[in-house]
Amino acid sequence: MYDSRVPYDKSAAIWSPDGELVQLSYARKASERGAAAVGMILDEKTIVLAGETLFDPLVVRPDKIQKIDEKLFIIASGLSTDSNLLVGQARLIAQQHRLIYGEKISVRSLASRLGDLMARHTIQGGLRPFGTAILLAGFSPVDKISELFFVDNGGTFYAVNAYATGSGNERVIEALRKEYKKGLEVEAAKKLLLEILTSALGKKEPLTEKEIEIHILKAE
Amino acid sequence: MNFPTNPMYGAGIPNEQLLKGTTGVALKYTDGMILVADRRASAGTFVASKHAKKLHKLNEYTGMGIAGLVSDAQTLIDVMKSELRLYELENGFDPSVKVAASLLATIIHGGFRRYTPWWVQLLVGGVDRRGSHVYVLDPSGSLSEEDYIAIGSGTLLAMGVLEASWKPDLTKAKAKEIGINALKMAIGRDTATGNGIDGLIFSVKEKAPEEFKIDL
Repeated sequence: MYDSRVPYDKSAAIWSPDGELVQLSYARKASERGAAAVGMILDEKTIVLAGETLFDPLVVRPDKIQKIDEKLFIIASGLSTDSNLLVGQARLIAQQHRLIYGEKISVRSLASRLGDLMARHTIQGGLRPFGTAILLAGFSPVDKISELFFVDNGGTFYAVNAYATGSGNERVIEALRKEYKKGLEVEAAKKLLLEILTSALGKKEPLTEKEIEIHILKAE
Repeated sequence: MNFPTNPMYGAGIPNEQLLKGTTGVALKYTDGMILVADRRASAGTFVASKHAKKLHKLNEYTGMGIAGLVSDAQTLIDVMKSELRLYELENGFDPSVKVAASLLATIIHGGFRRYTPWWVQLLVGGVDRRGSHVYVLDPSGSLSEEDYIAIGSGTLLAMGVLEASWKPDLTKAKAKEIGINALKMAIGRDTATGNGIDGLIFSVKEKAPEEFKIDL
């Protein structure tokens, strides 16, 4: 007689005795192994996204920050194949919204739709959670106010002023908690992000815009 | 009603007794828009109702005027009320008038392309953070934004009045007067229009729409 029980760390859809989805914790580890990604709202009309792009002279630098729709971007950390899947879905969802409602999707709505998709992968058997966490940046549809959302591996999403994911995320978030204030100028924000990333990633040489892809989003 | 005469509808055209004549008018003014309609529901030459409700609030700032097959129109009103509530909950802000009109166009065109058309002409109007808007839809699912427009069996009569009187930046009182005159013209010369006038005014300056009624 063979034992048909599945150990609780083998499937995303099984609870551990202390109420944890162990596969989800593993997935979070996967996204923390990915290159660092940071997002920060500077003011009502400006958002800055920054991502570490691993430098290899043999590889053409891939885009860390991906466009979903007009003035709507995703920066992801973790398994790039998983985030590519999410980016593809996000683009599809954004265009479906335009087709049905005649207007661009809101950042909140897109975050919630992607969150649903990611949560589905923690509930349904045979699936595994996404090995990626994402930051979504854009502007509210009518009054064009800056909006930044974080969506984690399990699909939990929340609006943030500044947040980080990927390697060194805890240290970056801790630094942002101390240093972040609204109304930073673009140049000051770039400098701050480079400093935070340099120390959080434990770099000997200060990071520059060569190693970090920085994108400034403006409402107009 | 000027329904499409495309032969693809051979089996799908509702009995004339089911199609209700109507005149509905929508026009913009400086800070808002006005919907006006009559109250007669006709079934051929019979007056099926003398107090038909043809103007409906989808929410506090979007309204809809209906003409055509009443059951189809009522279903669309119910669907839209629910869809707009859902949109508000999922997005965290109120859907614009364009969102409401585009969604209706999507639904109606879906029916048209699947040989089960929604037998209606619709006015969608209201106010949002971009200002006031008037949209008109037909059974094929086409959507156009207008400053002033009429639907129903009295379209040509009402449109004549609007065409002669409407101009940009009307006051609310003047726009209301033009809408009522357009309806009176249709009531006078279209047998499927009559039994009084209902009106709905959406203003960017008011929280709730203003209703008015004229018994004739």
